[in-house]
Amino acid sequence: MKTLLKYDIQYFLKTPRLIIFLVLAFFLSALSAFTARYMNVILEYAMRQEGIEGITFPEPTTMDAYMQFFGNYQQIFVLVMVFIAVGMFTSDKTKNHYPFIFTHSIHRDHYVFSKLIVVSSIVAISVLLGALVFGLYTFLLFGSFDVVMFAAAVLVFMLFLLFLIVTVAMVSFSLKHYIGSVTIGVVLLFLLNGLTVVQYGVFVYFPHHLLNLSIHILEGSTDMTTILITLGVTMVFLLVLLVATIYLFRKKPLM
Amino acid sequence: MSLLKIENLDKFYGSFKALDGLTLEVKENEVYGFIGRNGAGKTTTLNAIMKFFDFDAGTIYFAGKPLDKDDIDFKEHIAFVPDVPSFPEYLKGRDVLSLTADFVGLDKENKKKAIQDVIEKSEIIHPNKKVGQYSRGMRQRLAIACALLKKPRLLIMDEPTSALDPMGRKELLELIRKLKDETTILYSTHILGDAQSVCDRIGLIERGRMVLEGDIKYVLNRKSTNQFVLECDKLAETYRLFKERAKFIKHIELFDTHLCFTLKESATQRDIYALLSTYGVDVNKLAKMSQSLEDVFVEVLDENAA
Repeated sequence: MKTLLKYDIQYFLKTPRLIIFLVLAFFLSALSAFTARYMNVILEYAMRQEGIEGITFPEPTTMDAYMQFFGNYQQIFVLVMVFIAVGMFTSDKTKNHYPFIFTHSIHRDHYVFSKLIVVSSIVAISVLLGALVFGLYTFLLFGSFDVVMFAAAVLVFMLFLLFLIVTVAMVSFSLKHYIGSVTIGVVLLFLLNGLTVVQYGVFVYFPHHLLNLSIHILEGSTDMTTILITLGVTMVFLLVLLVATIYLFRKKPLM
Repeated sequence: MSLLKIENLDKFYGSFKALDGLTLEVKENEVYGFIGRNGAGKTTTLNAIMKFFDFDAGTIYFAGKPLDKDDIDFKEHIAFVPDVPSFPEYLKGRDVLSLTADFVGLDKENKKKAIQDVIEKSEIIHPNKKVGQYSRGMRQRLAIACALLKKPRLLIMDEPTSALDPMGRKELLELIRKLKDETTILYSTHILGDAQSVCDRIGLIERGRMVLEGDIKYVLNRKSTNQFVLECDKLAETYRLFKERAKFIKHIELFDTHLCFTLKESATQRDIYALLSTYGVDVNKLAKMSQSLEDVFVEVLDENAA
């Protein structure tokens, strides 16, 4: 397992993929804070240039910054994450590296776990670094930053990312090609985003609702019971997906 | 003692039967040539041994022990060199060997030396270059180096010379000869000359079935060719003599330095000597021509097709 982790970490360290994650996280975080702070100024300036006078936008608040942060991460970071994660899950198959690995007495479950651990860790590190940068810029630009609530919202968002990683892992380990896996991954992502509008019945506790939950936590418009049920349901989904991924990969011919 | 034994192995790809009750035995410390034409089932057999997929029926024994479905421990003793080795292109050759050493479980103290040893043995000229810059032949050498790092009891090679230039091929065959003393080798190839030059025993697979297996000498002599080469002083006269008097000869040809002839099935070597001594021909050399592995290959496949 240790060697598999080393092998998977090298996939990120010896290629530009880690840099992509870190730069993207830094860029999106800084951009979110700046956009939220100066969007009203930019819009007013643009309207004046067009000869529209008299419209003033309200002063932005830290809530605008939080919304901007999660919006950017949901739209851009998650998409990049799906592309890179699928690439990692399928690369050994598509590039015929299986004989190099499975010539040794390596358990298939360990192989799956190693990939999941490494991708999740790199994503977590990037998001946490991004959150730190965002917190710093927001505090500098707005003069305040709710560390506790933002941290809670980020943790919930990271759980959604983990759910998405395990979902695309299952798809990638089942299919043969990168293109097929990434297409299904992206379609799933859009589907999950679309499902966030479904706000009734048990659906409000399903993992896709974690995207809304992050914002609701920051707004203070949710209760602890809803949070705990959603987290619990997500954990069950995660467990089922993980078992399915391992089962499918155990059955998969390696050649 | 048999190190690897396969009994009645079946493998289907959909409705196509790739392996059809294949039985095979590799004995300890031998080089076993696994030959057959393209698509005969060689690579499928090797992949089945490595448990890269589940087979449909049959048993594989390693060191006398049947391998269970989920058994992976036996891989500690087997190294595999695929026909087209592929490694992560962002890694250097030395990094690949370092990872392999970790997979094998070499400790830090021995790792560096073991890597250097296999680099020298496999003649990897640029271990610090990225694998992406390696030629196919160099990748083949790297795969062999990885395999040697394991110090395996059984080394499985799937057509290892197919990507090599003549010099590389010669060197690899030389390496296999050297390794003969250290390990057992299961060597799959369709280059019959290579198999004939290094293998102790061979198995010929056709349509997923073993059609011929045995010691290389036995295989080459399994059917007497009844072809002889004769070298003597008076070649032209002897040629005429054979043409006129030797009723036991089916066919004869005269060459610059020797005669080549084929005996009728009922005839023996004694008939030749009797004739030659009767007419006082001084024989320099009389030898039976042996079959090449290629002859055997074609003959067996023809028999099998019939």
